[in-house]
Amino acid sequence: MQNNDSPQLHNRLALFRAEAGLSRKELADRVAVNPQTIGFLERGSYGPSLELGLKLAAVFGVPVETLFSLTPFQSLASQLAPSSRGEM
Amino acid sequence: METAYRPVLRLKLRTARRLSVAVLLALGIGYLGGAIATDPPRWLFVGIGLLRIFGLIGAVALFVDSTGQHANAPDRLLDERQRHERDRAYVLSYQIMVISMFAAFLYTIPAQVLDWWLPQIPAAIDLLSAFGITSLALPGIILAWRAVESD
Repeated sequence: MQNNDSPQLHNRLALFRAEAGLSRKELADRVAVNPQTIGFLERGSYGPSLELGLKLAAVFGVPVETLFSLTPFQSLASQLAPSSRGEM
Repeated sequence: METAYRPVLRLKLRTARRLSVAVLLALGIGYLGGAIATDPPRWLFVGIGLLRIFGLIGAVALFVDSTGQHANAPDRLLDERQRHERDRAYVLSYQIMVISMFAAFLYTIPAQVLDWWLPQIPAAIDLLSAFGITSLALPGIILAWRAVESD
């Protein structure tokens, strides 16, 4: 994971955090970082270390690649659209 | 992360940025101007003195401000992003100071041959003082300019 300025790492941190009902501060406390760091991560302004990436994934109980990816994630809308059409 | 560091002074980011520009200008004009002007009139002498005092106090304020304390906080008080930012600020400070010093050394070579201005010992001490005070505040100044407002 990049630990520099290159915006190569994509993440779903905001989505998972919102779903878990956690504030930035609560999540920050769980992984022992400054709450601002969560904001930096969510905006993609900072790429976490492997250790922090694994800690964040552990909070949500998902594999790290579910939370972070080198390629852009498919948007939630486009993921839901085909299945909802099929359900109708 | 053990606990958050507790700065003596908490300037708003905008205030810290404005102060940093004022400090750099005051130090530059106060010390460089004072070194060049060998026999200034009284009003200029007083003005240079005031600029130096303002630059020194401002540099100390920036040093004890939250961004200055971020620059000097031990690893255990910072998370990995903050450590990364602090380290980058120190690298940039080092580069700026080394380039400035090298440029000054380069200047002295033609200055001796072509009889350009060269500082006498008191003026050289003034310039070294400005250099030292600037290097004290520079990491905090860089952090202040790179920081983003709180989310």
